[in-house]
Amino acid sequence: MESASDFSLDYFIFVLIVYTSAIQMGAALGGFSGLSWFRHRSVGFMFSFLVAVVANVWFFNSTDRNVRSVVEGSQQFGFFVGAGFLALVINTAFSSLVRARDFRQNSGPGAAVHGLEALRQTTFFHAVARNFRRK
Amino acid sequence: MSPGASVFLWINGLAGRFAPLDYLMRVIASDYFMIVLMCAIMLVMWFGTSDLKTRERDQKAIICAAIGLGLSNVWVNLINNVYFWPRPFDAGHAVNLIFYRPPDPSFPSNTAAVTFAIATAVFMANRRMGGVFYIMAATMGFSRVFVGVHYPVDILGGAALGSATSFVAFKLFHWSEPLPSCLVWLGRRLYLM
Repeated sequence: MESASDFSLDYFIFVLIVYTSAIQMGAALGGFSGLSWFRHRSVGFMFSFLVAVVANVWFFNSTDRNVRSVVEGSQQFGFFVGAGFLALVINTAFSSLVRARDFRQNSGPGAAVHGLEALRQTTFFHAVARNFRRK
Repeated sequence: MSPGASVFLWINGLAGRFAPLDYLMRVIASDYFMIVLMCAIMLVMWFGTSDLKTRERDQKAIICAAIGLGLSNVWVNLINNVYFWPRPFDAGHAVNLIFYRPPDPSFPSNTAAVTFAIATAVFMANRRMGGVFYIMAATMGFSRVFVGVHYPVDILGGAALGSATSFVAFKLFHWSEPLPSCLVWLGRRLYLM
């Protein structure tokens, strides 16, 4: 039988992968190029869908997950929040790195665009840097 | 016989007849599948709407869903501390148990409370997606009866509790202006909304 720590790690990785792919799918559907890892929205959508399916197949088929009290409710909530936060960090950081060259011309000072709308024309790191430069 | 026991026995009697259906129900009834899927869909909704007004409306509903989810959990725990309703397999029924034996009380169903809390909050803002979430919540409720860990009345009780909690949370959230607007302002500053 799998130990509680192995199960917890599997669960954390599962939630992290599913959330990361969900954010990528959202970025593809919403047209937030600066948040997406891919230039083409359709590629981003397909990639995130496949990754989510693979993560589910791996998690539910690698071992029996219906076992008693392995991940308690409060632990589960902690993994939810932790994995969600980490997925957001991974998405913003990775997209900022891999798409930096694509948005280089938009990294200078420009009109103030706040919120997710800014990520249509630039990456997260560029948007934050632009904000600091303006100040 | 407990309320709804005959309905329970009929639904649970379908278990063990067709292995692929048993497998599917075990996955859906799992503590880890449906809630993660619902949260993933909410993340897609959070980022995936190109229209600013629609996105802001959905994002506020998702915040309400998170509040409703947390509060529903609190109510279920409070009820469980006051009253212990035994699970069907502990109540002397001939149960086709194809799941593990949860040690906590049967009524109200925590998973039903949580999934219906999410569905109601989303439904209040987005009827189409809310309908999808209600179908998912109902499917999970059915699967919990199918695998033998809940009576139908547990699911109905949890659904009523979760739905009422999210309905109140949604109304209070929108009455508590300017707090929601402050949250949106902060979220936009962090490039999250």
